[in-house]
Amino acid sequence: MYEAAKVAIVDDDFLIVEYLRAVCQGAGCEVVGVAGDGRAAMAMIEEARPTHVLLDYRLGAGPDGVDVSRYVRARGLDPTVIFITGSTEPETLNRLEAEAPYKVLIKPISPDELTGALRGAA
Amino acid sequence: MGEGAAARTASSLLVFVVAAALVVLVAGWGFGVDALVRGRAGLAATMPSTALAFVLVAASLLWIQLGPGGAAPALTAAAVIAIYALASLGGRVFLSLKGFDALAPLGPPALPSDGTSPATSMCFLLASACLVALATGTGVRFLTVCATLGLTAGLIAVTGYAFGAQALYRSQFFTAMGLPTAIGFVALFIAVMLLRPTRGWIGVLIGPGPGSAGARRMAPVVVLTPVVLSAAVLFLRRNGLADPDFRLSLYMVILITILAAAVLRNADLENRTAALLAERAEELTRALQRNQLLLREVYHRVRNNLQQVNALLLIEAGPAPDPQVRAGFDATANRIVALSRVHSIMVSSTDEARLGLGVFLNDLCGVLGRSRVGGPASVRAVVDGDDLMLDVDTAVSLGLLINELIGPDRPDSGDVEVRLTRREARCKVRIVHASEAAAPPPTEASRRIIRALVAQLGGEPNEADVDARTVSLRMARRLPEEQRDV
Repeated sequence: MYEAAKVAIVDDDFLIVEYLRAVCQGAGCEVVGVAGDGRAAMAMIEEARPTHVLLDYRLGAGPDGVDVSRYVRARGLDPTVIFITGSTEPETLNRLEAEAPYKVLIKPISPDELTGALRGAA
Repeated sequence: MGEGAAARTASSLLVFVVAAALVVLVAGWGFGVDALVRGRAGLAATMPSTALAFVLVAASLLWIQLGPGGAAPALTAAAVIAIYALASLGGRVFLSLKGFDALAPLGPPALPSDGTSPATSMCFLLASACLVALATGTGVRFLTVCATLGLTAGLIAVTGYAFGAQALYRSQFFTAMGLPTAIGFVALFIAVMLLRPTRGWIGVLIGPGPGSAGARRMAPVVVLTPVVLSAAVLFLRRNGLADPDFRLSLYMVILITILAAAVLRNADLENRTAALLAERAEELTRALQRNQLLLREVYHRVRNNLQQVNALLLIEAGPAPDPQVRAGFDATANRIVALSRVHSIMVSSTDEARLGLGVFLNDLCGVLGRSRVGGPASVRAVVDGDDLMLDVDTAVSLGLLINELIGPDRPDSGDVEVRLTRREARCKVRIVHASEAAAPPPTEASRRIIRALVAQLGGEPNEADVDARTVSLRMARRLPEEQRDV
């Protein structure tokens, strides 16, 4: 089950995208798509149909991670959403928790943390 | 007016009183200069004993303010003054109008009204009480009351002379208080209050607050208006220029008009000040919000940058790394995460510069536990000893040390207990793993990091302690000033 996870990565920092991709692949997951902004993420997820989405909260201008999560759910898709954020303000965390994600990971994320989250969500 | 300016003014007034009293005594009574003892021919004189008493009181007050210390001289002077004042009262009743001064006739010819008045004696009794209060440092309220009464008596006499000495002489209590005596008491009691300028009504008048500023604005109007109007009414009366009832009505209307204008002007200034303060407070609030937003953005950037460091490390390790390389990378990545978590704990505390040890350790173990793959809450803190405050540097070093002792390269080592025993500034940190098999000795890199952090925290690491995951620290060097060892 764990090895079969199809992961989509959404982050506006391409260095971090590469990091997440490497950790996911190292954990035996298949990375089925990446996106650097909210609109591209919506299109990518609709097309790639991942089982897991690593979703950064802040995605520059346009829709943020929460908007992407709501869009995906509104389309009837139900991937396991793991939010990623560098913000620890209560307002941000409350907004993320309101989406009932599988987990919220605070940057910086160690490979063990991410692997553990993917393993737990499998 | 600050405390320094008040003290300087008090000194100047006291020096003036001493000098003026000596002039009255030596030049006035010694050489018979009538103008110096009466102010104007025909008025009551300031008696030699009164001048001597002024010298003694003012010099004693100067001693209290500027002298080398010790209450005994001032208390002795207070006793002498009190005895003199009481004896003057008694002498006036039982001997003659001149009291003591009847015993040693000096200077210019005496007038029938010359003598020590009851008001003068009472003022010296009040001055004596002020001396006692100032010398012993007690009874500030008592001091204020005494000085205010004395000042009021002096001002009544001065006002009486300003508006006609005969009016003053008709009051038996003030009869024979000379003009120099009255001026001397006004200066003396103002000086007394300026010696304790932060208390009583003088403290309100010369204080730094907005209320005090308003009082200072109003004071000239409140004091000078009645004086000027009364002088005008007196002029009208003496020249028969207006009906008495009309004069009184005129006085009342003008007084009300001027005082009401002063009150309204003051209210307008207060309103403007309040509006300005509200505007400044709003600006400060906006600036604070901007700073908080900026700070949150900085924290966000710091975490992103740490994540980028992890990414760079992983890229450098390559897609198919050697297991040893991979283990080293994982340990370093975990250290970076630990560093970030310590940072987060500090910035989320109420005081971003300091944090209690107990709170910090509990939070740290919580986040380290959640960061580990073994499941949440697998790291538990046990603190024995009083709490102490940690500064940011100490907290970061201690957090990294505990992370290293737990073993950043063994994330699946099961439940861990962090035991911290504190005796004053000495701390012992011991890591207890639920399974000893899950806690092999630290790697060489980990040993070097532990040694460096222990040294940073004032301890002396040895290899056996590091293997046993037990280290002793002495954090006094890095504690806030008030918690360092004596």
